[in-house]
Amino acid sequence: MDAGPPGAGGRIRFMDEERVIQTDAARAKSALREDRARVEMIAREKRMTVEQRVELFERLSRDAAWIRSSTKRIR
Amino acid sequence: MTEPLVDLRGLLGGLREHQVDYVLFGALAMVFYGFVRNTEDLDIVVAADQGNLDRVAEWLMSIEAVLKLNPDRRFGPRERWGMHKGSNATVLTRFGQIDVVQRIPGLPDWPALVEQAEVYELDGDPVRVMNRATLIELKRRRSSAQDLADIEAIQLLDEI
Repeated sequence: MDAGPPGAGGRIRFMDEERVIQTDAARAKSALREDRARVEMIAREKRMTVEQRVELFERLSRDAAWIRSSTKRIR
Repeated sequence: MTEPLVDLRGLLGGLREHQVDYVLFGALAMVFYGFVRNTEDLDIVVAADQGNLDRVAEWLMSIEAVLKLNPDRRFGPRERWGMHKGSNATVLTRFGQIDVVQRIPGLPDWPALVEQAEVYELDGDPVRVMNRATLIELKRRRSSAQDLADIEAIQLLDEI
């Protein structure tokens, strides 16, 4: 891709990248807050004790390892 | 039984036994904040003084850590020397992947990091966790899709 002359062109491209990042962030922000089920799940996790959250994490981590080690795609 | 991708209690126990001075960050910091998501690594910032770096190296050697970029090679004296020269280290262990960080863009100096850190109690032991504003700043600098999603989740935690 033609990067254009140094100086103004590079600056414009940098600003475009910033805009893309900001747009993605705004979309994610909106999506998360509008996802009622996820917000409720996060609120539930927030109410847990640290020990309960660590146990939940360890369960997720164990399940992920098990799925990774024992599944194979057959179709 | 299948071993978890990250054995958090095993890793924190090793850090405690070897008296490593550290601050936890990354996705596992978020578990302490109140948001649980899966991750494949334990991220820690360590105090860069000589004694602490020696303790980090002894801990990694005691659990037979191997280099992520060269899993045939154990973490050893050469990597310890590298850490004393300021290098970060990423290793694989039976407890999961560990990212040991001394320097990263946007990271406050050690005294500020410790001063600002959140401290939690897990199984009766204190765990020092990076404060949210600093973690958000590190994630903002990297800005992957996962980082942006994490930032939103951390901010949401403060609102609900």
